[in-house]
Amino acid sequence: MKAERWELDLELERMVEAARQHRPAPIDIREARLLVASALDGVGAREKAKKRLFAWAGASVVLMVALAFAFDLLSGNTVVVGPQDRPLRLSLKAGDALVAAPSTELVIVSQALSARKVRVERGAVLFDVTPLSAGQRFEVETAHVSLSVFGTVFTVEVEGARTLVRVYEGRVLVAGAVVEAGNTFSSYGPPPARPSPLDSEARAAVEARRVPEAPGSTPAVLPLQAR
Amino acid sequence: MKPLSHSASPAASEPTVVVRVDERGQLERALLALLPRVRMWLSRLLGPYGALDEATHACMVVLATELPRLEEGMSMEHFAQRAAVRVAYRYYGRASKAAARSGAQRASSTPEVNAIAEELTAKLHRCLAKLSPRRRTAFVLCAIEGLSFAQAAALEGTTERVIEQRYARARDDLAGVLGSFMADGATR
Repeated sequence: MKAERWELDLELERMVEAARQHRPAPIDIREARLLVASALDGVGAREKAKKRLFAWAGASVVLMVALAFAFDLLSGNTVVVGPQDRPLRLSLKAGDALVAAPSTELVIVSQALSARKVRVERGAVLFDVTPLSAGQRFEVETAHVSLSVFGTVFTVEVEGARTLVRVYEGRVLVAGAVVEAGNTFSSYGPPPARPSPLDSEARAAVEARRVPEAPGSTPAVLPLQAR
Repeated sequence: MKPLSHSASPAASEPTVVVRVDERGQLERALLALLPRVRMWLSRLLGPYGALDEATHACMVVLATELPRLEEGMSMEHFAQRAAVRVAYRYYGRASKAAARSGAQRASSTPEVNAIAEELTAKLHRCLAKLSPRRRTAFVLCAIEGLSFAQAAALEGTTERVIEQRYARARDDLAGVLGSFMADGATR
């Protein structure tokens, strides 16, 4: 039989009244003190654990930032030169000099002595590569071509759908073809008649190579200074 | 809707204690003073078979952590009751790990009356266990603790209107649960 609402309300009222009179079993003072002391100790332990956790987290963050910074310095370092900036001179660890023209973006993929690699995303870059010894490689890649060099001065210009490689000294291997000093390689169409935007820098680099360097004048490692 | 008729709220009947607690001795004294009340609140929220001892300890830890940061002018009792309500949410549906403490106290001295009252309390909490935690809390605070909707809202950190709605729905739910219990003969 289903109970009426008023019956349910009455029963509920009785139950509530009984619950109001309910008192939990008493707790003696010794037990109470133990409970409070345990709570206070628990807080102390929790605070200590929290401090330890924060210390570890902080140390981990510092370590990760340091590693990321070190990794960033060693490889994968992106250099962007704005359109209003002056050409930027960079020195790799091995002593290779790079000059990035305004509106250029390049990535130093690897600075390892045995295999240096630079990717030119856009703009023009002058490479003054120190002569490579046996087992060393220096590669430049763009969206259109890959180059291997053996100690030379050349510029790489990425403009739109093509890459221009102008060799000022030495030889450069571009897409399986050797480009000699004084020649220009174009990945698409004939090369333009205009000179490279870094022409004067390239010629200066060629001149500088003919002057013997003073001992101990090895270029500094990254970060690199504006010219 | 008004809460069920009840005697004056214990929280309202006692003077408000405002103490700055920033030393271990002071904190210990404050916690010892609050302990019986905390147990009472939790006992009413969780019911006779709830994990009262565990919840009391958890609430004491919360109070030991937060009492030193008690804002100037805030009632310690109100603060403790808020903590108890918060802790109760974590312990709803958990049964006591230890056997239920015997010896619950009642004002009446007649064993028969006590037994009936215990049975009615247990029955109410069996019904309350079927409710959502929020409605359950609103019902216990307003009907059993005897707080006004405004006081319950202050404890829950919500509005009076919300508590009123939760309370009304809790009553409807309880009537439904109780009706089905009675129909099934599940309750004696």
